[in-house]
Amino acid sequence: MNIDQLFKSKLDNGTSPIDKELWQKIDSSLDSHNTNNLQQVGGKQSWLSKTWQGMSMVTKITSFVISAIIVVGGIVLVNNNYEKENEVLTNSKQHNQTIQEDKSSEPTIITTTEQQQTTNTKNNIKKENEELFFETEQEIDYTVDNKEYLPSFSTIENKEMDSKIESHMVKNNEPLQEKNLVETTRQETKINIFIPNYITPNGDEINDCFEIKNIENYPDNTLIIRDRKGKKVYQQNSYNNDFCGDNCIAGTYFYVLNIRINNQVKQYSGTIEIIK
Amino acid sequence: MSKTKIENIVFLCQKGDKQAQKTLFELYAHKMMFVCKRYFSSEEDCSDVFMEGFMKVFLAIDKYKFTDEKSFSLWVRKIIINHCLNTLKKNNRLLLLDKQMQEEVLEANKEQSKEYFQSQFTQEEIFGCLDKLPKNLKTVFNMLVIDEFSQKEVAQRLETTEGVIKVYAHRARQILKQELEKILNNRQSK
Repeated sequence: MNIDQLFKSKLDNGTSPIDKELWQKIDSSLDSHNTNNLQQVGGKQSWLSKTWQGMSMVTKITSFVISAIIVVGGIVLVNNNYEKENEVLTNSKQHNQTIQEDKSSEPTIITTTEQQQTTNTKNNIKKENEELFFETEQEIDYTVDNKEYLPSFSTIENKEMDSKIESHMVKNNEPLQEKNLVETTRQETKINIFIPNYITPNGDEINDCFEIKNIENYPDNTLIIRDRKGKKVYQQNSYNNDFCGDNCIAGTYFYVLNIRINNQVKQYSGTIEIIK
Repeated sequence: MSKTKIENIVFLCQKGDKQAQKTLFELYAHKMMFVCKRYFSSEEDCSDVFMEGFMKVFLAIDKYKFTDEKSFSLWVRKIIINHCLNTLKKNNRLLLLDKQMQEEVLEANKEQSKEYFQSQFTQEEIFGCLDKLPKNLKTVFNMLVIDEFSQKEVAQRLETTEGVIKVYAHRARQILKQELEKILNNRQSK
């Protein structure tokens, strides 16, 4: 028979010894599952009464107090509003009364003065409006001391301004060149590596070892790998992708990778899962 | 076991009878544990997966319509295998493509099968060989050969292409052959 048939025939109906505890565990899981179901389904209790029963004494008291505060607060608010409305009403009533009294005593005089007042106010309003309108005949001068301070792409004679603006502006109407900008900005080095977060050291040559892509471009590096208890399981200067989880059990490990470049040290840290 | 007996047990389990549940467990536990051990390794703690799988069986049995014993045992097995696969998927990125694949696909298609004799090996030896496979190859081989999923089903289930499955099966067989040879050589040298 071929290999498939051999394996199928031997393993199809294989058996394995069972720990006696396993049934106990399943049994108790089934029990707790059943009681959960009963709680959800059982009784014609209303939702409110059920939650009330479920609460402890403390929560009951606090919820009662809170609801009491809300009720009292509501009553106070309503009271305030009611009082305010009354005040407004009484004030307006008084006002109306005074006006009526005036009018009744000397009607004619009041009317003429009123008319005058209204015409005066009209004039005033007109003037104000006139003043508000911008008269744009005069050109707005943006220059100070006859030097233009608008941003421009022409050369700027003031050398102090030059050095500041240089990195942002363009000289002599040249098109914006990235090169210029990069040179003047602060030097930032970019490290282009890829660190995986798991390895499967099982001989299939896929992710068997902790392979950091492009690490060979940054040979000035150190790698430390620790297990969950903090014990160092691997340490290497100038790491070359040769940590393969030898003598390590499956689980979570932590790595710290330090790369020195341009007199700066960049640190990368994270977890590696060794899956066996 | 006669049809009526199993049918009875299933019926009682559906009613929630404790004794029936225990009997059902005793009937199928050993085989299902072996299934779990096939998919996970023998060193790993398969008991969690096994327990969860069996719980699923008990919880799903309400909706099961009993026909005959064979289909019932297949149903139980299907639940356990599905749970194994789901757990594998959760904890493990199972399948990865790489450049070597294309060459291997060609080789896989030309596979020649050597003849082996059933009597040559014990079950423990065969299980030992399977156990040595890396997890992804083991899963594919288990599904294809022992649990008889089709290539298409395996590809769908593991969210990859049939080509990858072919290659993985091919690789698995290579490794298994090597292991079998080792056993035979060891015997000769003794």
